[in-house]
Amino acid sequence: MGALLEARSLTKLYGVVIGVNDITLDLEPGVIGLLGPNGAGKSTFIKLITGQLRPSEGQLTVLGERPWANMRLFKRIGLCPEQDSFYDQLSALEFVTSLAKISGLGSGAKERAEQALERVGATEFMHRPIGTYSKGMRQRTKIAQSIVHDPDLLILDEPLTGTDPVCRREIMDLVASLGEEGTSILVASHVLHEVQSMTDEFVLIHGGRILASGKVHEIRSLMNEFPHRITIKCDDTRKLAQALISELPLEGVSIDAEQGEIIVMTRDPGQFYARLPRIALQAGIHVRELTSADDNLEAVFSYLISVH
Amino acid sequence: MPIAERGYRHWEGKRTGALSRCFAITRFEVSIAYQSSRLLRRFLFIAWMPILYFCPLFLAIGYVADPSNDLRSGAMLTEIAGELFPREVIEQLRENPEIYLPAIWSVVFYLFFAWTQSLLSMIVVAIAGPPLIARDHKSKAFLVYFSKPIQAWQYLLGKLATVVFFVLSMTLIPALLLYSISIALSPDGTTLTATLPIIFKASLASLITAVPIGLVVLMISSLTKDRRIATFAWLVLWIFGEISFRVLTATSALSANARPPAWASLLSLRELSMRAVSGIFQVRSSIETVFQGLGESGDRLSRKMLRLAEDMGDPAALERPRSVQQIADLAGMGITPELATLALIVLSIGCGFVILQRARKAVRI
Repeated sequence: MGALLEARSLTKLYGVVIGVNDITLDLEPGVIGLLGPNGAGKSTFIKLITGQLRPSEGQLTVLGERPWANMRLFKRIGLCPEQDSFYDQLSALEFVTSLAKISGLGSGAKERAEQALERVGATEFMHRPIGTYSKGMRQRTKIAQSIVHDPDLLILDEPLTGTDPVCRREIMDLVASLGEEGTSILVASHVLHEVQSMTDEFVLIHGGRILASGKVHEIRSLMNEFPHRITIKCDDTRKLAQALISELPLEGVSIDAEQGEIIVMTRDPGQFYARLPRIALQAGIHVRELTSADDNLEAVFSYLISVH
Repeated sequence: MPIAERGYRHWEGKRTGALSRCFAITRFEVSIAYQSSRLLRRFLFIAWMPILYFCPLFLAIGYVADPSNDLRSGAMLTEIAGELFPREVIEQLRENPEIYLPAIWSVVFYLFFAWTQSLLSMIVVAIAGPPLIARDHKSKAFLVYFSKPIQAWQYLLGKLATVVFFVLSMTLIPALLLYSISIALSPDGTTLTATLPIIFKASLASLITAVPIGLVVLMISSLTKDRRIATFAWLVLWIFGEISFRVLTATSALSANARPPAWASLLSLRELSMRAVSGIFQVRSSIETVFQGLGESGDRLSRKMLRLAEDMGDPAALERPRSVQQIADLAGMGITPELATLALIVLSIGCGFVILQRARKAVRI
């Protein structure tokens, strides 16, 4: 399979309001998180990808084809929208079967709908009217309709909203297994940690612009203007802090005696991680825990937004 | 024993065509409407009731048309036929059934559409039509629909076919049943050959009623997210139009030497449809056929009737047999069937355009 998505100077204007602004982006197949706060342009971007909007300027290809009103491409795309686009009188099986038929599955639609609903764990309630469903059941039904026609690209818009922990876990597992089977998945969300638990490949969007794309640590490593914050828990914080300052070029060190931890600021985390074991060994200090608060998405996102 | 593969399997079947995909929407919507509205189910049942009135009428026409039947021994059937047609017409029918029977059948089938089925259709459309797009607007189902391999026009066609399905259930299906029963009650096989075009006319009449009405109700539905507002707007459009038309007609009839303005038919969607349907059933020429064959007296009668129909100010109009008056009124009043058909086509195109624009706009929100 070639590139999943290629955007060149992609812009969408709603009158004088900019939906997405001059996006240039290449995405390879896989599971990708599309992250951004509310109003960032995620929905517009998704509508452009799913061919529901025509770009005002620039070019976009998805799975090698231009998406605007492209029926051939729509057969290969599955969309699970954020909103509950349901008919409450119908059962999940009827709903998913109907949408499978609209996707062109014909006489095999019902069987496929049953399989899709089984896959999302909805078999138990699929004969009940949707109007009686909990939020989690509705989410499962929406995902089932988006995978029923076996798409190459699945777009999940806020798939975990309103779900309980068990349902979240199951949806995350489903995303992982679909990804392993070769389905490319774009997970749009404004909740960073949710997406981080599904993939480490991201596109960060804000104000209609792409802030960054790639793996979190790759993005972070490119942000040299912001020192990395590394937290070390050890048995003698003061002694280790002295050793680190004397051995490494650090931006700053602070000690939290109560927590028994040192917070180190460095612009070269690679060198720091490589040399820390020897420094600790020479000082005779037992390091209990080493974490980088900056390698999480939230921190990266905060940095990026502050830059823009 | 091999271990069966029970895991998820990828779809390898062939995709269905564009029409099949858009009619999937129709099946879906018909199922929702049928499941969710008891009132709709009742009206679909009531739609068959007028057959109970028209069947005896066809039986009576068949009876009096057969010269071997004695009118006095079948007094009741003769009386039923006489409700609709004067005695002179019945006598002509007995003498030349092959000429008069198709014309009389056309007129009666037209009345079946105009008197009962069109009214019932408007009610059923008021129940089934307004939610069709308003609900998708509210739930943002457009996003789901248009992420599938379906275009806006296919979506519109699928929705329109839903309304058409219900209107045909009220018009064509009962008309075909009525036709079948009437043929079964006919004296011989010649009736079938003489009246066969009525099947085609009934189909065309049903479609020309269903499609514009369907597009108008869908347009109303596309303008709001609230199905109740859409229902209310539809009822206002229909009832207000109907009342306006009736008031104008009645006012014209009361004032001497005045005719109802031709554009009055444009006020009422049902009237406009029935004008087009009267053209399909060739009501005017059928009436002329029936009455002109009566010779000098019949010619006078038919001319008088048609003139009276066109000139509602003539006090003699009130003296005519009630049923014939209604037929002639409907045949001769208002705009011509051709103009009515043209108006319906223009209306349909306009409504279709508005719906597509609204659907495209809704996706952007």
